Amino acid sequence: MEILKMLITAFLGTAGFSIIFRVKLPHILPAAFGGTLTCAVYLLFDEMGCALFLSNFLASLAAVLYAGILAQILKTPSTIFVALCIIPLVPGSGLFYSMRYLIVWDKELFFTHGPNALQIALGIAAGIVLESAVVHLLGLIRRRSHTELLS
Amino acid sequence: MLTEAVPAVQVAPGAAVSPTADDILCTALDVGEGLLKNGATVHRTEDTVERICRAFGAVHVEVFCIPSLILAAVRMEDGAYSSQNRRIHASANHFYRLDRFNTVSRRLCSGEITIAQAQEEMRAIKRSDAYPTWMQYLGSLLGSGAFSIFFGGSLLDAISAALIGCLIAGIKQFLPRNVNPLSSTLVCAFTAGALSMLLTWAGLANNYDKVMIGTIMLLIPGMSFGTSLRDMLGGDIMAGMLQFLAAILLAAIIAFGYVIAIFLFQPLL
Repeated sequence: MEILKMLITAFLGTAGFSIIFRVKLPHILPAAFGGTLTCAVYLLFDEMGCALFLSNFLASLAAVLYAGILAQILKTPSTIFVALCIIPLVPGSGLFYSMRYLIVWDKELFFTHGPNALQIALGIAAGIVLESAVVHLLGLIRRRSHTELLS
Repeated sequence: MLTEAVPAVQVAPGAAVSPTADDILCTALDVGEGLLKNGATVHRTEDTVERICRAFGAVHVEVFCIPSLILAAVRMEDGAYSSQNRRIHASANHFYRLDRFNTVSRRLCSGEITIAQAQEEMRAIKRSDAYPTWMQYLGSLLGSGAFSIFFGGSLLDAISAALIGCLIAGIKQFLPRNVNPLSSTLVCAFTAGALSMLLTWAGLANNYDKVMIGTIMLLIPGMSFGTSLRDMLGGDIMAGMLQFLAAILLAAIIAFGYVIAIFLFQPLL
């Protein structure tokens, strides 16, 4: 029930952000679905007991893959969909609580939420970085095989 | 024969003259600026400017891009040289315009449109928008309300968050163009925080924490952190570092705005 609530609100929230980011009407639904998918992947690995970093990393990878596929189909830059799909992962509560307890200096609570928010942020970043590295590598391989074919 | 008069080539007035290096670079930078201002990454902007210049025959292109500046120089086959820069003051995720600028870039590179046509298209893009203004309020409403529940809030919390989200959209709408983005974010954060506390005090929300978290999602830069690390690991330490620090600073300012509001209104609750 909790999970269903999260998935539905992830869908609605991502749809809301799609409007804010001025995504074209036909693209809103795929984007919102992407946000839900990303959230689902995160929840899956979280339920399995993976650490925060790993769950977010894998969810971020899923988001980037999905965005890449969408970008090819819809002929739009993938940055748009990556930005949207990742939104449900962004640690809004983590940031809020860790900054609040930092400024008030509540040691225990800060050290509960702070490292969590950091792990999440790094997980998301790692997903984006890995995808970019893989795409770059694939581009190099394709170019290398092209030049080998031509020579 | 030699004495035969060679008919002069008739050039119609206003016919397309081959674009100069300045024109080419100017157009490329216009596209790059359009991309960067509307939410493209530094990497993509550099790539686009270079592509456009090369498509028009440049033999040597150097582009350097950080979130607030694009520097470019181009040398053409005949030795013509141009060096220009663009200063970017603020950027926001405006994917409709981003998509259209991207299309201009694609069509320029493939030769589908000329520079003059591209310039006209870009002028039109700057005036265009995907949705009427009121849709912004709808989007903010949906975004903050949904995420309030997502992070554990109740329905009442979500409704309050949605209302405050609308207000934030309104503030962003009515702030003057050239206001420092950090200042406007601070104002939004504090207002959201203050209203969250007030609405909770008035009984219209159960938990001011959850209301604030819903609204904070509207202000956080989602991707900046990730792309900044990617740029750094991709070798562009400067651009990556600048974006990284900007993201951290923005997060700190947002938190600051909310915490001040909590301090001020805590006695009420």
